[in-house]
Amino acid sequence: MSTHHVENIPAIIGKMVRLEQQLGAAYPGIKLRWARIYGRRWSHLLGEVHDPTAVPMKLQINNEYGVIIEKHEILAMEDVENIVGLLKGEFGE
Amino acid sequence: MLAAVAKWRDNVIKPEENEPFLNKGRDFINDSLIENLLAVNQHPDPVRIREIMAKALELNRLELDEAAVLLNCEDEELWEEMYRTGLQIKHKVYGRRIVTFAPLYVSNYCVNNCTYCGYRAENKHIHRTQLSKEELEAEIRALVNLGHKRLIMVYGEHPKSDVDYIAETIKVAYATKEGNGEIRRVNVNAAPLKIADYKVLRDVGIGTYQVFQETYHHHTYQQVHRSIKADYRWRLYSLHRAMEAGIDDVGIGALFGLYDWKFEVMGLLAHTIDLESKFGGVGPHTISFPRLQPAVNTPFAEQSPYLVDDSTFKKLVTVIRLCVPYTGMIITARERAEVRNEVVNVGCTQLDASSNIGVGTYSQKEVDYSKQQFILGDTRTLDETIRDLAEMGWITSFCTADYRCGRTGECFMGIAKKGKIHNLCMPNAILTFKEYLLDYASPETVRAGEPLIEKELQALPNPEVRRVVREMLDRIEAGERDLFL
Repeated sequence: MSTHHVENIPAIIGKMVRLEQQLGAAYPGIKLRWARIYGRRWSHLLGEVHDPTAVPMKLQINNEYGVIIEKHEILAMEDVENIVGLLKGEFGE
Repeated sequence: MLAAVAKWRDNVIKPEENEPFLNKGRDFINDSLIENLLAVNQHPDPVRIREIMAKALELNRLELDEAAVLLNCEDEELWEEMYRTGLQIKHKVYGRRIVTFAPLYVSNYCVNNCTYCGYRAENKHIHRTQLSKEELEAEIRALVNLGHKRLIMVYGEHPKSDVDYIAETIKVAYATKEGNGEIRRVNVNAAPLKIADYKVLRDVGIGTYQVFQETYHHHTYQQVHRSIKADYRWRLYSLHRAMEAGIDDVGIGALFGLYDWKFEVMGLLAHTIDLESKFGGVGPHTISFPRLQPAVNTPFAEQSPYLVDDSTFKKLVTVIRLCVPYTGMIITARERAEVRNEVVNVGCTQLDASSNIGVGTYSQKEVDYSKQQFILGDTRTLDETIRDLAEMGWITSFCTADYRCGRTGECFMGIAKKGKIHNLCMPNAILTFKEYLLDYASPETVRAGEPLIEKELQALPNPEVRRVVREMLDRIEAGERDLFL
């Protein structure tokens, strides 16, 4: 985990772990990676690439955080909208 | 040292920031240990060399004693095996692609007096200059018009090019658009910074931060460096501090020709090992191995007793490839085209092209040695370089996807160490190469490049990825840009 650069890291990581469990239960099969956004750079925070041959989905939560979803093919558009809504609610717009 | 520089130096160097990384108060370069390992591993057994090659081919990072064995190989047939192994490793990890970038020198003011460097403060034959915002925009537009997407922006060490200046110029580079093009990744080569300053650069979204140690040999380092750069540890731990600040892609390098080449390769490996041990297995994102080149009014650069010949250069590049199988390796236009074409085939992953290293000289379309740190060996255009690479079977990549998809630091290394990053590199190479062929290539380069796109598309192992890439290629043909996985 590359967390040297994130302030208040235990709370942020705790939240990410909780959300990963929550979303994993709601949409079995999806895999999440989390990133801290610095301009164009999305710095790795938590998670790993499970299948580098898969085409991931990249969602920007707000100006600070983003999430990359593997196995997003199982999600309907409505599911994606629900996930974005949940994450924005947790992290702020 | 001038009083003003001394005062500035005191505000830059914070030795206490190195202390958490020291090993019982010592730095990680143990000169005696390295010399001893090189001495006791002379005349190595071919069986042992092949065992080490096999370990590298399994993508395992080598230890210092193993590197010493390879460096001491005297059998040219075994070297040929090592060259082939280097190429196999490169294919296994990264695939048949070469990432291409351009260097952009932004300021050549420097307070240092490095014996070998054209930019040294006391060299009065250098025309000192620093780009204004407007001049920088003109440089960026000139580079974009050549087809570049990736830069390494280079700054001399001077109060005029402090962290705020660097950050502002990076913002300008990212903000400047030209036609279909833009710079999508800015890497930085600049002086060592304190952690707070690295955070400023982190926040503007840089790619990789490069600091080269030049020489890892303590005594030689002290001999050739004066002024602020004379602080060996401040430089040695610069990338530890960058990583601590959250810049999790860093580039190391040594300037070959200052000291014994075998020692420097051991130094690069020791640097890699220490970064990996302190940062959860994450070592350098790239390794560079520039050779000392002539520079204006700089006799040392042509008289050093440690200058490395072409044959030895190929060997050292090969050993670095074997030592750290999963890390990017950069061969720059310091080297002549024939040398670059040779060492690309022992495992290099990145090169620059159409390089013009005078400050402000891309937009002026001129070559001005009085503005350059050294003299380039390869002056091919980007188009010529890409065509040459294509004819050798290499697809040129302008990919900038990884750092925009969270594949940095630990995440990137996790994929690269498993030898799986080529699954992303090759699709993104195909897509960015297509953009280049459509927007910038000469008809000859299009003819050389188009068959490669089809060949590499067919070689993608995952049918779904192949389908997505083909769909993206169609969208690029229709005018969309910057599509990536």
